[in-house]
Amino acid sequence: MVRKVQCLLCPKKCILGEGQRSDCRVRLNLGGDLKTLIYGKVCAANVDPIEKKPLYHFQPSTWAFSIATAGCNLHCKFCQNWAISQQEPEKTRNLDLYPAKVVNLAMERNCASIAYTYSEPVIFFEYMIDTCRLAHQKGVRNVWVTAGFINQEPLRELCRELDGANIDLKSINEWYYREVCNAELKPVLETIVMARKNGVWVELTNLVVPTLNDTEDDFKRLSRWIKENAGTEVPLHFSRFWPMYKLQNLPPTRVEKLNQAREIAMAEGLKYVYIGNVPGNPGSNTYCPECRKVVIKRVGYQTDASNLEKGNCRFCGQPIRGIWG
Amino acid sequence: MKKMSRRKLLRYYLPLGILSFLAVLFRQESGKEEPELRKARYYKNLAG
Repeated sequence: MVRKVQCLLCPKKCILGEGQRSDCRVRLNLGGDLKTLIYGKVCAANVDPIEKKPLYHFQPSTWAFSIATAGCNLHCKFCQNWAISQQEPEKTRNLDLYPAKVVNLAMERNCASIAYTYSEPVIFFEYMIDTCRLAHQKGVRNVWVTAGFINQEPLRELCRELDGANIDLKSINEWYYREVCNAELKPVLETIVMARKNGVWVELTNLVVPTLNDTEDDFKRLSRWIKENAGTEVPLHFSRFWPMYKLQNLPPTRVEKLNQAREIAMAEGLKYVYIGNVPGNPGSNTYCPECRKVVIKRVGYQTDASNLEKGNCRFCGQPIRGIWG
Repeated sequence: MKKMSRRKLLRYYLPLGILSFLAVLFRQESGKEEPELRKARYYKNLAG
């Protein structure tokens, strides 16, 4: 008898015969049981500024203990971390870091949060959620940096343990998700809505890739969707593309293009729109949506939030949405 | 060089060898915090 299983973690819903692995490379049908090959097998661990995630409205100037395992359920042609994300866990150098150890290390290193990041944390769901629970017991927050390609049921469970998330909204076009990322748009949109509904602090990132998702219409429709479904106070980061992995034929995104994207999004009504991967660009500061003065100044990962007083603009008192404490 | 007697070998070195072997084994076992493969969640078995 063939003991097939169907993974229900992400919308790919891989059907696996005995001995077969999922599309993300880290889930295996072993005798009719689905096993995760990466529980506690960390291939990247760093102490990063929270601004690197990027999360600009979430405990600024704090550290995030950041971990990843091998594997990913997307296959983006521009992936910056393809060496770990598009790899079997046997082929990366891994540390054994079980949840208790991760939380201890985060606390020892004075980190306010643990970030599940770099590759795609959806695929190490079991490991992530155990670590999240332990972190909360010790007063450490949890941050999810993700493409958001996950099914609703596991997402609902995960949201209970998350404090913040940066979700990639890679494009507002279905064809882009299908052809460039080997995924689908709709589940990602549902993740954004659900995470917000469940009280997770959400910021969005759009990597602007020349010729693929950088028209005025792309920026307009993306911004409109955010405004109508997630609200005007969700921070949006337009990030600069750098030739990488299978898209080395394309040039880096021009800074003028990023400025244009930011202007369009703000004209559509979004209040906090940022430019990422361009150090020193004024588009990385937080401006008060009321008086337009700089409330949080950023240069690289250096952050000066002295014009933010108890979550309000120091100049006009306008509340600035975020998790500040 | 003086040849080691069979009696001395059995009395001192054999127990020492066994103890070292057990110590290594015990250390390996206690170092294992978690099993190698964890059961995943969110899947279903299919008939056929």
